[in-house]
Amino acid sequence: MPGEVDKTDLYDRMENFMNDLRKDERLGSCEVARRTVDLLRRLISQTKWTSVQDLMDQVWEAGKQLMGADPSESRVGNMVRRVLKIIREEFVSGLREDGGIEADGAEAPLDSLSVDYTQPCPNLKATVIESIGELLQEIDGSAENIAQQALEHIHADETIMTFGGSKTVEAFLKNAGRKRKFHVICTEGDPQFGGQTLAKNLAAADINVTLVPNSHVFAMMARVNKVIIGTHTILAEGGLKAPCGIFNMALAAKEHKVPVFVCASTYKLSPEQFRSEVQEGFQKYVDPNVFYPLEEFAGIEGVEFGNVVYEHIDPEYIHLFIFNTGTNAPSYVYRLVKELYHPDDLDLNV
Amino acid sequence: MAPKGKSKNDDLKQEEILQAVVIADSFNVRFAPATDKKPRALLPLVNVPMLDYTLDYLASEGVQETLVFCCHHADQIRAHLRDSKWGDGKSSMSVKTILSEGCRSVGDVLREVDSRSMIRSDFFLLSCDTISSVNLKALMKDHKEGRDKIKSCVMTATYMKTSPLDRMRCVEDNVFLAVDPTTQRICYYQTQSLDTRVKVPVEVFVTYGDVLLHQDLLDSQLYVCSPSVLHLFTDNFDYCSVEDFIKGILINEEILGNTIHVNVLRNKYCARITNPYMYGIISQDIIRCRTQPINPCLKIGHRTETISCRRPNIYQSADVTIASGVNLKQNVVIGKGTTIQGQTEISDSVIGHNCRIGAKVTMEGCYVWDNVTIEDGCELRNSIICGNVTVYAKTTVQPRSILGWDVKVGPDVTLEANLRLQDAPCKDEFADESEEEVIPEVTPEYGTKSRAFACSQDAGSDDDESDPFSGDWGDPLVPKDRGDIEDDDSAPGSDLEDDEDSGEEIEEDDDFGMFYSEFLDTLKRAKEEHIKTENVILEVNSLKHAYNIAIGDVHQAVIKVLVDVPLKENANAPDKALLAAVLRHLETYKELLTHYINKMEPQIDCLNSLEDFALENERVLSILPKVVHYLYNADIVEEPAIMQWYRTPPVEDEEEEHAKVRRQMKAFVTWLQEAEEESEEESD
Repeated sequence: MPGEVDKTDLYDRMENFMNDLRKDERLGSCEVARRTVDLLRRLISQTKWTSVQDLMDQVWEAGKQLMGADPSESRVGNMVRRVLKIIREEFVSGLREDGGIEADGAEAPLDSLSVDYTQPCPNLKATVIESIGELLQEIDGSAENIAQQALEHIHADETIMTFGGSKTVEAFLKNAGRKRKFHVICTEGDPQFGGQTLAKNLAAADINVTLVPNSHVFAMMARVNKVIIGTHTILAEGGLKAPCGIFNMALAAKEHKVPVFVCASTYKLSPEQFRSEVQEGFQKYVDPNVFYPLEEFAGIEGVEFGNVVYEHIDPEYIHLFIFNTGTNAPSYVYRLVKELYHPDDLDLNV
Repeated sequence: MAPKGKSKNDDLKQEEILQAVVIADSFNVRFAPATDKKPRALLPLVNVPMLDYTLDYLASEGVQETLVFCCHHADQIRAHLRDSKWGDGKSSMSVKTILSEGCRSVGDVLREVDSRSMIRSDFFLLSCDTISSVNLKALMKDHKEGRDKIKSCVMTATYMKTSPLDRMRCVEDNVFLAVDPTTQRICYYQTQSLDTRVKVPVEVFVTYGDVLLHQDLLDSQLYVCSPSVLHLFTDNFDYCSVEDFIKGILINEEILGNTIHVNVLRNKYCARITNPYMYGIISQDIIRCRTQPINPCLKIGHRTETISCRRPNIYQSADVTIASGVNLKQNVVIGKGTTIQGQTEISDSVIGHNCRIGAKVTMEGCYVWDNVTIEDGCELRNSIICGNVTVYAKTTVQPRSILGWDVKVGPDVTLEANLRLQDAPCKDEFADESEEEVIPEVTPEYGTKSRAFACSQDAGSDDDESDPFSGDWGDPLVPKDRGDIEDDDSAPGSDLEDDEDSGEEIEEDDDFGMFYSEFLDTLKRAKEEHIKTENVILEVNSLKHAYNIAIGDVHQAVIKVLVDVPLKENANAPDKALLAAVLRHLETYKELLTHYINKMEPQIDCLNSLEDFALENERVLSILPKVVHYLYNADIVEEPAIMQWYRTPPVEDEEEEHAKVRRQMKAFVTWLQEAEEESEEESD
């Protein structure tokens, strides 16, 4: 049958991706986002569908499967929502061109009540794939876009404190370092010790670096002008889901009245609100063996080990988000969420 | 030269495909009666069938073809795989199920694999209950590199570095290895419990020079095998397990030139659920994320529901109903659709789907499967509760129990520990088929509403008498109270002291002492490894020559050893159990006795030896008449010998002891005389 495209390659790719996610092989957030979008693009180009609703269902189904690999990996879900939104937008604009929707409808909110997604729509595939291509470009260029804003935030002779080994922050600091002299205090960010790599790379780029253990944050904070950090996820209310250790730094910064800036691409922006520490995908435990040599505790009863990966940081500790699309206050994040995602796609678990 | 070119091509092809053989059966009844209605591979581990973990792991490690061997309840395994994601061909790994009901051991399975010639290159061999996070591709690479260096390598066995004090170390999985540190080749292999003294033959050191002795390894039972392993199994049809195989390869190393290598895993998890004890330990490790990336949230198999998690390791599905006042202490997993009522305390437990747990229940270290009802006020510790079980109110389930499928117990009873219950009485295989057995509806010994029958472990273990642990729960290598890390020296423990005591006795008579202790060890080993009695006789003869022992002393030693071995093993058992053990042991080695003790003189030697032993040891004295009775019945010691021994006058200074033994024996001798007279009368 000509309609049946061999999908084994796609399934293999999806499985590979899910395995990588699950094994926690420290995929960069950019890579996670890009691979998710890429897989969805392949899916769309290889799938036959009868209506837009059908297509969205298929994307949603695949997205759900991908998200299942690691529930704490919110970036996969974010990208699925972005792709769904693209499909919806392209469909509506396609209809508009055909005169299916009156010109007045252009300003109407795009919710499912006003649009009938079961209508057929020619040429949709091509336009959707084109728009997804644009999304991929945005993802790839996001770190650079953020870095370009560096000179607006970092001034000469400042002392900056950062945490762990965020690639976005590294590009940001390096870009500022080309023009200005400043001092960076890196914390190690154990157990991954990404901070050590960051310090090495910054030193290679001729930036003054001091590497300190996580425990020194409070002692060093007195001399710091700004805290610039990366994060795992930005929640819809403006809070963060960030690697453990950042909350400690945010508290120290608040105590010393030091502003905290967060560098993040928009693909880290999740429509989820922080409800409680118990919510799904928030708590992630990994092998405690990384921290404690369990062998030394062999035979000892009553000691429990835990290695939690993420913690929540309230919006009140953050002063500014530096997105690839511009800078925003935490109170404005909800607005971005509304712009980026369609309200019907917010809860993908239904 | 065409064939050569072709074989090269084949080699290239072989490089590409990774194969694994999964044995979906354990060939034992350690989990009876849980394995009566479901195969071992489908028993839930943290609410997911064990097999799903294994297959998911293999697929995620890039294995392309997996052969699943099913024996017991094969249809269930097949149905399960058909419904899973392995059945619809969407996965990159193809799973083939192979039914082989005739297989009774791992060896049989591998011979079957060989006969079907389904293996094309090096493959992984593992069991359905292996939980692992090892990088298989790296393992295969190591294996192949090792084989390039040393052509004779047929297998790489993986071991996880774990301290002997770790809870994961289990008595029966314990191994002692001598490894050549440069080639990682196994020089000496011994399975043993920690208490027995390690004895490495001198030849090992002579042949290999530097060897590393390992007591800190956990046998992961994950093997990388070359295809020749299959041929070796076919050639040696007496190999039952991989353990036999390793021992066989080591013994024949000089002849066949095959070697086995080890891969020691550090900071990686790989362990097998060999018994209910390990089931608990591995469940706990999954909950504690030690098995990363496997954790209780992982969506594998049929688990699609979202599971939330909070400190300290409490995992629960979204649609769980938990009343206020429930205390989930730590390390708890609760499956979907379960309800728990107020004032219940749960710690270190896994609760399956759709369970109903009443109020004021205490649960500690319990593994409760699906659709279980536990009523108010129950107390459960350290047990496995299979599916559809009902525990009525105020019932106490003590540690190490397994309540089988559909069992009902209670209300208001306290079950004994180590209990295994099933929902139907054991079928007597020899019973008349036509005779309809009346199955009682209620079994009062387990409560007024109960329906439970003791699971007789002997019935199930008929096939594998060779498994000395069958039906056992399993024990940690170093018991909890001895797991004190401070004094490492005392860690080997109290049983060793017994050995030392006997060592002191031995000092008195050097040659005989040495001979005796060697003899004792030989017999112990024979028991562990099931060496045939005639071989034991050969060994004893060679020992006799080695230590220059008179034949009379051998006679004395034989009986003493045969009583001594079970005595040491059952040091704390009640007299009755001890007697049973001694008699069983004598029965097993009857051949040994009849070989040595055949004439009048040896018979008297034998009795004298027993007398001496009885005087040394109170417990032997107490069972002495029964033992002599047994020997008499078995025609090893005859009546005249007994009478002669009984009437021997006491040696000087030992009148009292002499009298003590005679007192003990009086009843038996009287009986013997009467029996003799009667039979004489009859013959008249």
